[in-house]
Amino acid sequence: MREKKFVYNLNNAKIIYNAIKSAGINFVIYVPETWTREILKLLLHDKDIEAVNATGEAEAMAIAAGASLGGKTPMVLMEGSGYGTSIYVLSRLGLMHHMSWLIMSSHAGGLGELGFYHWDIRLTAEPLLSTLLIPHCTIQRIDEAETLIIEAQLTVEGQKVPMAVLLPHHILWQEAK
Amino acid sequence: MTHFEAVQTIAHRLTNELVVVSVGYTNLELHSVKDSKLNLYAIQMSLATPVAFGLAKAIPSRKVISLDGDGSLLMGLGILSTIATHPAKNLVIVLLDNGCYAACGWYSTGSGRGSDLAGIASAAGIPHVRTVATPQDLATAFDELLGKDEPGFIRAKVESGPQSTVLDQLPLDRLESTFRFRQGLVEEGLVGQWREARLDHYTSPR
Repeated sequence: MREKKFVYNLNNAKIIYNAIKSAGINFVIYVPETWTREILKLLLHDKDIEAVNATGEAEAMAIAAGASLGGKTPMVLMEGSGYGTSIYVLSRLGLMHHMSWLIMSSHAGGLGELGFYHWDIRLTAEPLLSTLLIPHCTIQRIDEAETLIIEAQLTVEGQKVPMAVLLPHHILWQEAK
Repeated sequence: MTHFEAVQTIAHRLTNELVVVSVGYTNLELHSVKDSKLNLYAIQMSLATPVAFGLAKAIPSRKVISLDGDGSLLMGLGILSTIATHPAKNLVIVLLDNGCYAACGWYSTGSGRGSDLAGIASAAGIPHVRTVATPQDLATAFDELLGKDEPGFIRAKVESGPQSTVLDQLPLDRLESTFRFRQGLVEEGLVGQWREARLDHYTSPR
């Protein structure tokens, strides 16, 4: 295959950021990563959104659970590998305690993942969510981003469960000209 | 100071604080001394303090207490750095440090082998850290840190080894605890009702 280079799709990052705002998110707990970095940058510049840098994804989710219980509308922003480190908190706080929060992550399990070192994440992230009965959706087309993110947050609030929105490579990156 | 004496000391000083409790004897003891809808019971190992921190961020007008244990905190030490660098002014962590895993045979924790969890909290940047070993000192430290406008951490050194059980079982399960706590927050006027589907959510265009 010919050599391809990719640049961040800043337009799509802005659309996703706007959708996060439309969903009412006012508290973001994040663990920085390459794929979601421009979305994070927009969130960190937003004075209406409080942001906390957690030391790991499981901690981020537990903070989100407490914040949600206390009336905030939180979202965890992280790499897809974070599901592997968060099985315990998803099952304990999510399933057993019925605490709820939105999760947004990169999606190595979609098409176009270039990092061979992510092959385990590609294979396990979605099956983990399915096994844990955590509802999740993948944004395949940017024009459905706002609807899916708002509906995901409605699911979080209505069903009182964590829910994950997955962002694949083609949504976040575009081929460099 | 026994574990139960430490819990009694804290419980008798609670007024309207929100209390997040880790697993184990602490739940049974707190429930037996001072049950409240504002107690969130049985939050699993490593998760009580992060949940308390999230709660404190969400409700800055109310003091939040994390009643954690040394084995639990050691599973997630990173939260101390997170709290120190994103301070919740209304959070006090009370670490009931018996140096062992009391619920499963009193095996020693890292704290029991010499790790100083107050030192770790202080080095992480928590501004107010105290170590106490008597009920009187615990009461004094708790009152002092509750009055601060910054996060506090109290390492309450309690006796290790077998202890009397005040209750055999917590008389509510995890789900009941969560929903009852949330209802307590509603009754205190701290949060609104949870979103529920109503008939007027679904209407057709005329």
